[in-house]
Amino acid sequence: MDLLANLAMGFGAATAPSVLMYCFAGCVLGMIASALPRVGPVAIIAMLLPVTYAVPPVSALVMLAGAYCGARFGSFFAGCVGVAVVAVIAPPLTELAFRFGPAEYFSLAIFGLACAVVFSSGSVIKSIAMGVLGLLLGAVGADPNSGVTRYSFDVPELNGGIGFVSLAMGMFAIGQTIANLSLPDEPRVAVNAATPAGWRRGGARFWPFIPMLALGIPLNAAMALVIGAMTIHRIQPGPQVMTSHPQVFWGVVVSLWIVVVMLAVLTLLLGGIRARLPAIPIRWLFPVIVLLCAIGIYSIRGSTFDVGMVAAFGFIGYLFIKLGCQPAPLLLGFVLGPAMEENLRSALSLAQGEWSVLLTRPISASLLGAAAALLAVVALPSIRAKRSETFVGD
Amino acid sequence: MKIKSERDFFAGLLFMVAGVAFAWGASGFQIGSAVRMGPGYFPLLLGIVLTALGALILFGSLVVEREDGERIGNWAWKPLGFMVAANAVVIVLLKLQPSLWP
Repeated sequence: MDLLANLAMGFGAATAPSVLMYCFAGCVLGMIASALPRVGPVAIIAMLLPVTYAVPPVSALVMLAGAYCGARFGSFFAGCVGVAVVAVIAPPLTELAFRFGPAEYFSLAIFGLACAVVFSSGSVIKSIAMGVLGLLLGAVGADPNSGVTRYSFDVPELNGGIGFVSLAMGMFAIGQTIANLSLPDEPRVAVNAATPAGWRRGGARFWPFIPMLALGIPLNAAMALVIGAMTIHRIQPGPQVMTSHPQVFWGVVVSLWIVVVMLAVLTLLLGGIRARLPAIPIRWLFPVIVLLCAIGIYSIRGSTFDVGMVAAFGFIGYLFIKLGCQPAPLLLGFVLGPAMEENLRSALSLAQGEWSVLLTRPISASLLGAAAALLAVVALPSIRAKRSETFVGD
Repeated sequence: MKIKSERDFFAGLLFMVAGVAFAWGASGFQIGSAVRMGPGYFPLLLGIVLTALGALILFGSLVVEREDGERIGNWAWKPLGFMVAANAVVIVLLKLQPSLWP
């Protein structure tokens, strides 16, 4: 019964005219992005982030969901399974959220980072280092607890911390595109959504939303960006999202269905245009991406400093790609960092400074254990070889 | 000693430099203790962890044998230069015309 009421609420939130409009815009952009040569959904989501500042959280997240799924076609069936899974996990999740204290939130963030490390390709230890570097970058700016400004070098623009959007845009839209420009040409294989293979592919593409919404765990870089968009709206990722922001949670779940219907219609209407997009040379797209990033970042708070930050992170992002370091764990660390520090501070202060509190509380201990197990498993050589095959091109 | 992975060598070096820089910066803030974490506690801890990870990556790049030497390869200087120049032009134009932008 609860489920029906919740779905009805989600349906109400997801079918508001403005939400539908943003959903439609996201779907169109995602579809176009998927057909463009060497511009992935992650770059499009990064470029859409400035819009999320201006609109309510449901519209923002539904637009990003549309852009993500538009690029990775989903199926109605997969959407149904996704909602069924949410229905099953919803009651225990609500129960779980009540038992979460600072120690549990800290360990959940560690577990989320471990997931980001495991699901990104490349060397595990380099990905862990990227996550730690992200946490450190998140510490830049005024410390909310003591009021001390850290690592700002007396730059007033850095008092509020490094901008999440400039970091995301620089690394994923610009850095990635520069790296893609130097790749040799390769034929693009079109995936037909009507075939079973397309369906299976689509089914897989919905899944990352479930752990992202339910626990704040990102299974890929795009989900790390969506979590960042949630924190822009002061929604802290974790099991409490369902109870504290039910409209957002159920609205996004229901909108996954709407996205599928919209995409089915759009595929029929835009199929012809979409087929011609891969012919666009990337040397024409790159200036458009750089310009759109500059306009987007400037629109947030009219700061030319932020434009420079995008360029700086574009260079840093390209540098990391050249060094074989994955940007997704860094981004997640950056997003989770401030809350993680706060939760660690509360947890340790409640436990009289005993670090063992992280291991004596059962939920916290199992999260840390699961994180350690995940990292240990992927560090094994046999799995490492398989993993690099699976995640190539993601 | 021969570098077995160029990418890991420079990545490790980069992480070590960043880790030391953050830890050194953190030592300028009040560290506090586990019961009362000061603003320097968390960054100092992470800076040390990052330095250690960087050292481990660096060590691995000198010891663990790789198939192809994992060379960094050519840099895409042209797109990089155009990107930086384009953003610089945007900044200059915005600064020159403040009256246009409220």
